[in-house]
Amino acid sequence: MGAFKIAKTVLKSAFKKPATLMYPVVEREWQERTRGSIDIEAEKCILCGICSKRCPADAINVDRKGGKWEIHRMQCVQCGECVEACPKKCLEMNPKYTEPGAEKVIDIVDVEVKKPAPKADKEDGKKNDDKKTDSNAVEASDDDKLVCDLDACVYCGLCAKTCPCDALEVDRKAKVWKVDDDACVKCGACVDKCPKKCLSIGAPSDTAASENKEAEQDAEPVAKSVPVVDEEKCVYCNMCANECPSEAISAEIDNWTLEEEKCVSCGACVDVCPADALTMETVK
Amino acid sequence: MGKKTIIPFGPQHPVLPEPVHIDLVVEDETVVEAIPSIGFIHRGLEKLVEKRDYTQMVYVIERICGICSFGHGWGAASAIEGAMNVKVPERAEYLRTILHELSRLHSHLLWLGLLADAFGFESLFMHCWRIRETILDILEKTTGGRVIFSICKVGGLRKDIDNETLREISETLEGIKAELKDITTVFIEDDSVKNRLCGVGVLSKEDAIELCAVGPVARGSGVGQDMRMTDNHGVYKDLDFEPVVEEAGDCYARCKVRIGEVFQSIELIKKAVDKIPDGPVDVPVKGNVEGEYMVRLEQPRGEAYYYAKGAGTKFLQRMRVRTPTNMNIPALVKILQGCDLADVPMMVLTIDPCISCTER
Repeated sequence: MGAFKIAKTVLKSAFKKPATLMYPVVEREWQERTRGSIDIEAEKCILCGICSKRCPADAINVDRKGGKWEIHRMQCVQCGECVEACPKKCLEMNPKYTEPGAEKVIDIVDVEVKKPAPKADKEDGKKNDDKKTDSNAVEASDDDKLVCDLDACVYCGLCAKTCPCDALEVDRKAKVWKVDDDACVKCGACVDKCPKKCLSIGAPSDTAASENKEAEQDAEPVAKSVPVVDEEKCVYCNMCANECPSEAISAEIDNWTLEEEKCVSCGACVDVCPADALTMETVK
Repeated sequence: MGKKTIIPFGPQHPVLPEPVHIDLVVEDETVVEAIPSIGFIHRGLEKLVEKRDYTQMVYVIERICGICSFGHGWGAASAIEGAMNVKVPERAEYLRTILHELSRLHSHLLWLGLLADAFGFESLFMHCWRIRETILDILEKTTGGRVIFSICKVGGLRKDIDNETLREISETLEGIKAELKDITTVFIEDDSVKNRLCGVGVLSKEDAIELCAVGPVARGSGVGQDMRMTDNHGVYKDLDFEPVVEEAGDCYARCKVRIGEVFQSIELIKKAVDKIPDGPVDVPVKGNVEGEYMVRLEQPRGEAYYYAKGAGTKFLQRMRVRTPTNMNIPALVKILQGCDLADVPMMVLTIDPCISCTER
């Protein structure tokens, strides 16, 4: 007999709670990783526009002059690419979905562009009226340039490698450090990356310098990447030692050494090695 | 002999979640010819490579289909990785395999539900989808999305899944096995189901080979072809399994293949969870794609093909995806010839048509 095979399952479920929830009365539990909607912390945003460039669905618009960050909720595919790309970490994936609606929603957030010196009044960016934001943006773009303290710079080129907009050009041999002010979005990624702390946005003020120092002291020893040699491949040609901006490498015959404290993790040695004997590895 | 009449089937039809149109030339109650036409849902996703760089392209390709989304992301990512000579860490390969098998589970359970719905077995349909919800919850917990996962990237995975969660997954799957057994028994043994499926839409082994059928359609006709065995993707070579093959070639055989694969996927996930090594889940990827590469994957619906070609810029020159349904439509046209009009929905469904995949 092959009939009523489902009877067992049906009878069992007759005595069970429903598998569905009473939407919208009962709210669903969101998982920690649920990609629901994108949130922005307007205070941290610097309107660099990297999120807008990275978005595969063109859902984010950044208007630097008008001081506005907007997201098309219906266009956003919640891939989270912008969250990962944001240099200031002001974007966040909220595990809750946006409210269902019958219209295409565009959320516009007013972002106040900060001046380099820390301001005393920290108003909520959302409440600012357009005029005020406008004037701030114009002021800011005048003196808010990326500058480099060329005395401290070792021309390692890490800033140029980090730059999401390819706005920097570093030539170690000619000792040239150049920034294309039009391309630079002042995201600060290079400032954070610089091993010598010689970069700053706007003129380096005393407060900023001391803040930097404090931050350095407070910071826990972070994982640093350094070149590691494969001695079987190394031909001891000394090219890495010549290339190293901070003179951390010496490559005498059969004795390749690295002074880890001096190393700025720029990876120049890896790029120049003719025998592919060097790799960057993370150490604590 | 009656007069020939053309009955349009689709693009809107109760058994079709997606739009495909078939002109059925009918004589009395018998279909003498079936003329398919597609093109209702073309979105031009392959063309987008000219405007989206290769890392973004993975998210775009993933959205070709909502059911086999992970496989598409994986295929695109590994084609690009191949062209760039990137070696993905072993843990990432294991996790990708696990996620791919989870999506096969949810795809097959969805299909079983749709099949039950097509022959009018509503409660069976609901129970299949209730069990599928467990899998979707696992996927949401681990990747953040229920059907579109966005976890695969060029160079590995974006998030790690810790070993404890993996063990939980393995236990959950063991837990739903009994329920699955109850449900699948209905498909395999119930007379009312067998009457609708046995002997309907027979595709012979020769036809399956000649018409290039792929996936469960080919395996249901006795062609033991499975890209997980033949191609070197994921860690399937370490997991040691045999493809599920049925000889009959009818709708019942195709249904049995998919049921077999549901249990096989659970076993594969459990084996992978036992063997998974520790380590990183991604490697940094630098530079642009130069060169070309081709990857074949076994999607829930069959063999899918991904091709990436780059010329040293951040945009790819060409990204080509060939999906399983594309290859199964000729087989469908073949089995529709000479069948009863009432059996057409059943046959269309047993090739598991994914029209969004086909048209991209």
